[in-house]
Amino acid sequence: MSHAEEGKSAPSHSSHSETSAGHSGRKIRVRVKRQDNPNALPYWQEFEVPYQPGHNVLSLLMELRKNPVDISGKRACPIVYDSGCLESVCGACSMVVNGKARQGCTALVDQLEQPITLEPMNKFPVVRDLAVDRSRMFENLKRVKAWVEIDGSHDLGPGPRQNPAEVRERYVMSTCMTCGVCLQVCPQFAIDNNFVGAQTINQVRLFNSHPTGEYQSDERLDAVMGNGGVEDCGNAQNCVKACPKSIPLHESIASVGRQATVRAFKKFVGL
Amino acid sequence: MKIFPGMHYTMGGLWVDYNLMTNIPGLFAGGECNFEYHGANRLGANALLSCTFDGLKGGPKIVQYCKGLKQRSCDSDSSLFDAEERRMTARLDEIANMRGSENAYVIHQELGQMMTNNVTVVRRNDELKGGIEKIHELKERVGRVGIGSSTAVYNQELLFVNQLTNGLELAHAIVEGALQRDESRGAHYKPEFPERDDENWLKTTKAAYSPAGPQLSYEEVDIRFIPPRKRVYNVDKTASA
Repeated sequence: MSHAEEGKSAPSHSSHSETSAGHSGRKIRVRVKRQDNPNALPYWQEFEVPYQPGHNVLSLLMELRKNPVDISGKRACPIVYDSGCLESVCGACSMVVNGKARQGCTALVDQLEQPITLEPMNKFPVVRDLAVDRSRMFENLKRVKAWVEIDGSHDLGPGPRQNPAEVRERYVMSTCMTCGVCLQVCPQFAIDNNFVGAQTINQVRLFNSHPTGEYQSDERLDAVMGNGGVEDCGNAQNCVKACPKSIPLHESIASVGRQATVRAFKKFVGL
Repeated sequence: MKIFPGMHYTMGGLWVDYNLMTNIPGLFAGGECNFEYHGANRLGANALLSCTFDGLKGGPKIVQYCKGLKQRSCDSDSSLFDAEERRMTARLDEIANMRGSENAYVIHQELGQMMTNNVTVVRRNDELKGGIEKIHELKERVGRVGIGSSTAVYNQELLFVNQLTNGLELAHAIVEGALQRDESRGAHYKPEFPERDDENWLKTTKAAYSPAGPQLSYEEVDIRFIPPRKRVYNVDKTASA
């Protein structure tokens, strides 16, 4: 790492940073569950990173890949993980930190017990190390048409007037970043079943309550009725506790459940 | 969280013509990846301008271009595609087999630190020259990186080295363009040349790739509709307009 110190300033190296001068020698210990490919067996590897105040799990992983050596001194492959925004709006860095599903970017090292354990979410297929394939969620969003269906460049005029209170309510639902944490903690959602889960159901509620989006309400409901649909929810309510965006997912499930019941009744009587 | 004043945008991007086509025929670039709207400073909310307007304008232009083609790409001789695939595969294989002592992530950090220190809002020519020297050093070192992961599955290191190699070229173009431009304009401030110099620099810097470094050229700015004026806020603009 000596060449790293040639730069004009190297704030990320503890010896250069005033604030961390008092922490010299302190280490952050981290255990990572690794998997070389989707079919390989997982294994654990342990690392030490020089302490710096203010680290989060992602900045820790970034530091680690500049010198990927495990605690026995063996050279390791840099840990593979997904990340995007680094500010808790994209959902890409979801992982299991000390047993809890959350975003790596908001997991502050100073608040975590050590050794910090990092695992991939196990409700999604592991691609490599901490990176998982979240495409099941995106496919579900397509199935429920999680969008407002207006297209084209012709002028449609102003949209319908909306009650600001409802807009505020929908805003919270719209903050879902498809991170997958609600599904990781859900007892009904499994890697080998077809339950849609809270994330998709919440989007059905969001777009069914939109004054233009509601034109596709029936199609959205049909997509979450039947096998794997909203009625497979077991009401554990783990999702609402785990949601990093504090979306009232239990209310969304209740609302869509009610809408589905009405839809089923109307279909039954031929309305 | 650490906060410091900076530019909030690169104010540059891929060169495109009025139809949003790059200098590669058939390759269009719309949205924030092209250079079109920002000049020396980007107005807030221009992301929406570029994505909506480019979509509105570029979409039909792409259709028009495709309809005007005499030959479709899928009818072209497959050797064209095979050759390109071989070229890219060879490039990735070359990276995958690098076993040097340098670490790509360290090089990336040094590049980022240099760009932050020397090439943000305040730009001094000696620091820019130092930056170019640093880029030459990093370009040489990136050829000696070692790839630790050999498996083909989601090899982020391999992708990172490829992007870093390209990123060094982009950084080189930014620094070279800044060094040549002896004036202050928009979000770029050179203490040695504090005034805007329309006589010499009312033009867009273009950079083309060459193995020796970026080749700069300049393009006139279209000022037919709005003549340039001094950007000051303490005057009544309606009176002078």
